[in-house]
Amino acid sequence: MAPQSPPAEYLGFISVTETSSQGFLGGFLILDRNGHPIEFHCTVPVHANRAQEILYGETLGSFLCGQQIAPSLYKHKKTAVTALITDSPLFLSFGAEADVPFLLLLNPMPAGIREALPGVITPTLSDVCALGRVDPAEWKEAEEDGLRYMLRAGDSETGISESLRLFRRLIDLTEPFDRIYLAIKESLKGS
Amino acid sequence: MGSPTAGEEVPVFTWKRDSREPEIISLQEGLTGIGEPVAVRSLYHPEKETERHTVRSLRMTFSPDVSVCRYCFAPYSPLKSPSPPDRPASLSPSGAAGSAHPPKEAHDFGPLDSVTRLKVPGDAVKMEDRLHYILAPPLETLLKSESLELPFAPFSYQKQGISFLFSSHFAILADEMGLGKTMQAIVTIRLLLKSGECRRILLVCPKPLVPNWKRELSLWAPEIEVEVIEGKSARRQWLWELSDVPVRIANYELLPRDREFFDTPEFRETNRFDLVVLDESQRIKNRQSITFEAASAIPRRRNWALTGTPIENSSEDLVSIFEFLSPGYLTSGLKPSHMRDIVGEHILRRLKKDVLKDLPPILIRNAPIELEGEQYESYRLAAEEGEIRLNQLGDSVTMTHAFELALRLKQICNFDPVTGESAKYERLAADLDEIAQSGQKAIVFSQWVATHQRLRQLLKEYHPAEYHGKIPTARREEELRRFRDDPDCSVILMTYGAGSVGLNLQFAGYVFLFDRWWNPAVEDQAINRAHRIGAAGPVTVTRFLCLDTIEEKIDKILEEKRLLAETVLSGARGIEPALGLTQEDIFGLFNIKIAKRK
Repeated sequence: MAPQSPPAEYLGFISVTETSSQGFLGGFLILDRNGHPIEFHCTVPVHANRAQEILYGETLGSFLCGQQIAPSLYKHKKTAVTALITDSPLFLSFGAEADVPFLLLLNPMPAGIREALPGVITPTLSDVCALGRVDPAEWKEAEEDGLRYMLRAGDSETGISESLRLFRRLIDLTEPFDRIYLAIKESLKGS
Repeated sequence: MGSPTAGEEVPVFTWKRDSREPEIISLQEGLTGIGEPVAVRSLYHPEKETERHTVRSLRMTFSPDVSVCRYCFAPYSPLKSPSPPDRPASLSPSGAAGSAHPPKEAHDFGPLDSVTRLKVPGDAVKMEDRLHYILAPPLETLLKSESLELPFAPFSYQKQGISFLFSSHFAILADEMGLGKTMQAIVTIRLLLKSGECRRILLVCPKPLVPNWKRELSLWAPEIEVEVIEGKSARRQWLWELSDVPVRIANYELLPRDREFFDTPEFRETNRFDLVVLDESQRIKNRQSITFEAASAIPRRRNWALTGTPIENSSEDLVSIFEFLSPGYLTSGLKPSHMRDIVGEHILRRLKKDVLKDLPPILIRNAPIELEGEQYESYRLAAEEGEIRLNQLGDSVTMTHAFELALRLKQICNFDPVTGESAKYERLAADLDEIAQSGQKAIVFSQWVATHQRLRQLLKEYHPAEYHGKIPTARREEELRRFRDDPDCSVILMTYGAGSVGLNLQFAGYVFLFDRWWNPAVEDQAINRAHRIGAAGPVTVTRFLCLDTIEEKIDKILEEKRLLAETVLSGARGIEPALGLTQEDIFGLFNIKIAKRK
């Protein structure tokens, strides 16, 4: 069970990009409440070999992101974060075990969910948990001033709500994922 | 770096806000020649990567512990570029294999433009530096910060301008007059001060514009302390060296006189400016001038130039501005298209018609005037006698002789020197009567103070305000205030020299060019005092033009030159701009039957 949230100081945003040629690239951005970046970490492209593709099948993305990429990124952080926020259900298995509250944004619907559930306007908790290969009983939905998200059933909504409110005074919580994406793209250019 | 497969530990690249190298500004060391290739190791993968740049500026240095060029302005382009990633939208829970939703084409990144991102400067080569800009909050977030409230919401193009300046170490903001260059510079300065990237900033502007800058600073950045460098020598020296004032304003005329205060090793060591902004930077277009030399000697880390007319007379003007911004970066004699390729990244120019779709229309009309009676006779006599005299001078005729005659004839087109008759005034008075009756305001531009002194007497009933060289600087603000606030004051009389730049007179719906300036760019600047952001309605510009006189000939030349200016600034090839009247143009105004001209 995650500890009660302290007053908001830093939020961690974790996301992943997939390329057809190179595989998955994860990015992890820590922001202060003014939206200024404190740390950024990104992985090199991670790809599965043919045997792993067969072995993991449809759970491959969830395995790579939740068990390989996210722990590697999180391990490198130097700044303690109040909570982790993602736009990808592929990180839910990591989030289930994280030592801070873990949120998956649902509204606006992340591209990963939208593409996996074509035609679905409002995905159910079960739908999303199925995408992330986690148990729906361990997650719940919440809403804060128009922002829909899901979090672990044991996390305090009150504490999270206060953190989100402080950050949302200045930043749109979906915007940092664009920064992660652009930074990953830049890191690829330099590699 | 190779790609790990699932199950292996995933290597992670880390960026931290504090991990950026300090700015490296030591210049003129470790130079190689312009045009020579130079190998640069990438910090990101120092053991593997070697990049090749071409030295394009003498402002280039290699720091032994960084091994990367910070002032090679070539774009950072790795020898082998990896494929760009696909849009994150391709994330599929089913993973890379057998995905039902194949990755989209490269560069299909979707709209990320709902926010204004800071521009990554072309000279930011290190990965850490580039990520500094990429990971920064968008401008909207920065502006929403509590201490950065703005009196008005910036237009989208202005936010792009702020983003451009924020990350530029040398740049020209060359927006057309009236689009808010001052505001964009001030808001960026505010952000730079707020972020700690700048602590000492110097603004340099023409002397008449100092009050304008103070006023705009108090509007857009009220919390910033500003000092104007003025007064006696000892006080000015003290102001130059004062340490705890973030923004100070100096005027161009002052720079040569005060050079002894700032062009010293001690000043460079302890008082170097983090940013120098030259407003109306066409003032340094002459590289031989003491103003240019003094401005170039100001110790500084970064600099911007603000001008609506980066090319006023010829492309050499642009070379001069770049010689100040980044010595050696732009050289003379390049073709316009080549020049544009080199400087493109460092110039931001927008035109009103492109960005302000809802700006009130501007109607520019020529008002043909026929000289009559005594005024016509005076003109005819002066023209005939003048040409005879020029021809009598034979080979000793100079441009000065021709120019003096042109001035004389233009003055007669304004007022008959003997009787004071003026066909232009008759027309102006008729128009002004209607303007005043409808409660509107008008600006009248002339080249000469003497013309305005006559007009002041003739237009008494409209309580004209005046803004020209004979009005002391201290009184000019009051004249502007009177023109704006006094309903009885329907007109302001301005000379091109004093009133064509930096003033916001968008409440005036009418502009009269009583006589024509020699350069269309200066006329445009004058017109744009009224036709700018905030203009409440259409702006009507009337250009008086005496038929069958030298004014008609000058008008024809100016129109041709205006076309040239538009061509160069839009990057068309093969045309060398020369906007002001040349020696040939001046001689061509007269019927001189001599072969050799000096």
